[in-house]
Amino acid sequence: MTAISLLWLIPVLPALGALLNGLFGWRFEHGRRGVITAVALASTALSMLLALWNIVTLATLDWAHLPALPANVTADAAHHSLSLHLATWIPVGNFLTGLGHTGHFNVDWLFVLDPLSSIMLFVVTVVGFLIHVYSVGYMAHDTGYFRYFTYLNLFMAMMLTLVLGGNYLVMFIGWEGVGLCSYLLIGFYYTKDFCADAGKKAFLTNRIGDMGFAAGLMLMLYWFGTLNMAQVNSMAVSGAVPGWVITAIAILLFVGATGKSAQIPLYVWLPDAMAGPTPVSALIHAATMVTSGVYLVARSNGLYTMSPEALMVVAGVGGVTALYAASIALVQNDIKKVLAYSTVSQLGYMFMGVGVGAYAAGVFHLYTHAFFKGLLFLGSGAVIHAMSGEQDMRKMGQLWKKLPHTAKTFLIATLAISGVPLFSGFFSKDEILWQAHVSSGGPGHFPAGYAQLVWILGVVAALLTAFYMFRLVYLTFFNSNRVDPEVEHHVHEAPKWMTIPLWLLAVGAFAGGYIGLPKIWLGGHENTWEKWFSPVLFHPHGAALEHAVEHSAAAEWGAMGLSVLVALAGIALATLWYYRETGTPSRLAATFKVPYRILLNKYFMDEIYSAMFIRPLLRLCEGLWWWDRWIVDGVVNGVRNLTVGASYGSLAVDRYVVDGAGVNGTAATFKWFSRLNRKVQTGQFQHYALGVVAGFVLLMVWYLYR
Amino acid sequence: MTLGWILLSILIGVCALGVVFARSPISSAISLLVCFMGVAILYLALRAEFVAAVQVLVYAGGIMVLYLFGIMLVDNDVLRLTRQVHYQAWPVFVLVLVLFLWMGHKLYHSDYTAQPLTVAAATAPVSPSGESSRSANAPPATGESTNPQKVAGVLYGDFLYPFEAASVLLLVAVVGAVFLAKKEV
Amino acid sequence: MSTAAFVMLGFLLFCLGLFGVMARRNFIVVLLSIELIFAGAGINFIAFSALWHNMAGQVFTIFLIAIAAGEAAIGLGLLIALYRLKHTANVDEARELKG
Repeated sequence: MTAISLLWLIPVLPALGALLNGLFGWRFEHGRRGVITAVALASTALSMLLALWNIVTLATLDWAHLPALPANVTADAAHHSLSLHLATWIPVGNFLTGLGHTGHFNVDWLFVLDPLSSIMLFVVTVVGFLIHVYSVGYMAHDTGYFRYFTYLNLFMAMMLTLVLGGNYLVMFIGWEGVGLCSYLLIGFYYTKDFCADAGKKAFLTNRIGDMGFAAGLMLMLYWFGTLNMAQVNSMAVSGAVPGWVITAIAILLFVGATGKSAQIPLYVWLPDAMAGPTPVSALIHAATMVTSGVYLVARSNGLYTMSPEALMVVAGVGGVTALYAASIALVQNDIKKVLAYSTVSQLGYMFMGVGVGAYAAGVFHLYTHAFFKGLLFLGSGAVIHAMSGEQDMRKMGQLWKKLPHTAKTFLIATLAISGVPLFSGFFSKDEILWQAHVSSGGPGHFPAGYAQLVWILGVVAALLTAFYMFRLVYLTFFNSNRVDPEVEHHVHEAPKWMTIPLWLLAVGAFAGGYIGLPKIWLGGHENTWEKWFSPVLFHPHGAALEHAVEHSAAAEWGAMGLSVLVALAGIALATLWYYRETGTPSRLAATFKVPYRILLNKYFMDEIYSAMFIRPLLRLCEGLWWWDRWIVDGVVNGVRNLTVGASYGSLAVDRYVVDGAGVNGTAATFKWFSRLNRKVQTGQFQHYALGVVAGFVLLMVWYLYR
Repeated sequence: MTLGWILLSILIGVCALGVVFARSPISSAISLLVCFMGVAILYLALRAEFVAAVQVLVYAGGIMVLYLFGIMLVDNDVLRLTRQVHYQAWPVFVLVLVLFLWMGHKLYHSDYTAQPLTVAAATAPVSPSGESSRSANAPPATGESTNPQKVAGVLYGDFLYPFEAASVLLLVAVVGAVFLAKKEV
Repeated sequence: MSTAAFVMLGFLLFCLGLFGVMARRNFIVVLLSIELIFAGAGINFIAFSALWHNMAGQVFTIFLIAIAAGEAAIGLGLLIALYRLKHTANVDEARELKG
């Protein structure tokens, strides 16, 4: 069982790699870059191997007859989880919770290995490793090589902490850490203003979400008396905590998820995040970081199942975002922007899945999406690399023959995302749509038809997804050759460092779905995925939501057929308009000028946000600055002036009163008196004699008459 | 005797006025001389023969001569041109007048001075020494001391030390006068 | 003849001499006035000596004459000094101690 006791190494190894590269990488930047590469790849690879080993160990564990565990490992057979307790971090002690219990609460360094975290481990380490390899080729000619790998390794460490965290606080550390790395990596080319701004935008928008997350944590601590995930979920399901509290916490946590996973209203950072290097977009903004929100909801399934209101919010936001983002992607001309909005849309799908209570389905889509979206981004990176930095699809075309590997893998990923049967995306997307169609919202129940409404949104979004993805493929690889002649000379396939990961991901994009085959294909049995995932769910009904609503196998076949139809329709339309150069897109754009403009400008969301929030905030800041400058500093300056004035007054007093009246005045008075007295001293003795005689006379008078 | 006294008093008074109010210092000096003569006669009338002699010899003969020397040494023409009396003369006059009148009134009517005084009178005054009186014109009988003898007896008897002190005083005065009048210090 | 008359006479001389000291500008006249004061005092002495048949009064008068002599010497010395400095006997010129 040594695998589990080394669980902590999984995040630590990349952290170590980041530290080494960060401290010493600069030495090898201009000479032996191989050293940097080796450190980065080795740490990630080792972490991946450890993760795989742990997953295999977990999978092969006999829960009925557990072997002897190390002292700091606890097993929960009901939920198939092994918790590794490393140390007590914050010993909080006794305090009174909102329920009137005395909570004895310690925040520990707790890592948990269970089916959900192992799925996330797999995705993060495997896709992460492949992207590391890809980056070696992509960043080969770039400056800041060691900086890039430092940040990338740091990201891996943080993301792994996030998914392995056994309590919400450890998860929050990872949550914040990936936000930081996202900022660092988006703003990697920090000398360019719009890259630095994009990084700031990402971080700040994330921060707003994190406020919600933190508020949720505080409420959770107060009412539950603990931040341990297992305890919180079981307490929620047992009904110990009032319903409104659970709803509040769930919604607040979802606010955090909105920020991190780019849903409405906090998605605005993701399209701008494309300013970072493409592998970063692939790893962070497709495969891993943005999925943390989905992971959070799935992990807190006990909370969410007990709160239909929160689930409604999640599903609603997810569905609307899916459709909204897809509509914007229809008309974008930058290849990475299309993929960015596509990511937002697909995340919407995932939230739709968990929002209707189908946690397994949502996470399934997360898993398949990591592969095909990662592949799409890496492929676009290869295209951009080949096009010497050109990202505008209007300047591409007819690249199929010139970039064979890139193009073929790209097509595989596109088929997956469009939901074409037999590719991974079909299985996961279809599962979500089916669950939405039949969901009743869990034990709490949605209003009638709510989930079905969400289903409709998903179906329409699927149509749009297929359309715009194939539009992208045609414009890039087929259509007419609109490549700039200058650039055309340098068009070449990517190096092996980049193409091998592409093919490996393509394998995942194709075959990844086979562990989640639909029930009806398996004759009503649970598929592997569901079997693997179900112990994670806390509510007894959570795993069996699809039984809540009456359905027949026919209905399921029908729904499946509908989604296939929709996908094929989208592909057909795209082929019609984009496979060859036609005038249809431009004519349509000219005819529907207003809708086109709205979509092209992403519904003017950034401008709306700027006017609604940012400019008033800046106004407030200016006002506060005015306050500080004139009132506060005015007071300070006023005091200064008062003091200076007082000192002048004091000076005046000193000069005119003390010196003038007092000192000089006394002297003057004395002088005046003495001047009078001087007149007595005439120097003439006859006057003195007169004085003597007069005095004598007076004395005699007095003497004789007293 | 009264008439003689009145005449004598008038002489003395006029001469005194002459001293104070005369224009030239010579006039003042001569007036003072005559005044001293009168005073000496008065002393005689009061049976102070020795003192009268001394007054004439020393005072009138020595001191006034000295004053005359002084007057001669000083240029008097200059004196004649300037004002003789001081600005403060009138206040002084008033003061002295007040003094004289008031004090004089007091003196005149005090018990001290009420007793009669023989001026070579026939009546015999009571003397403290207990001597019997006799006619003033008669020379003293033998065995009875003359005025100089009496004066000498008291002077070198009771007043020996003051006598010696007076001689020291005169010495000091001499030295002082010489020092004051020297050309160079 | 009452003693008062003699005392009044002496007092008269005294007051005249006082007036002369304070009022005359000529230094010599001032000195003469001082002599006048002496004379007045002397008359007083002799008068009371005659009244009480006491020789002390006459002795005092002798002393007084001696002192007057000394004073006259000093006064004339002052006169000479004043004349030497200011070339005048005007008392008003002796203002060195003014102020």
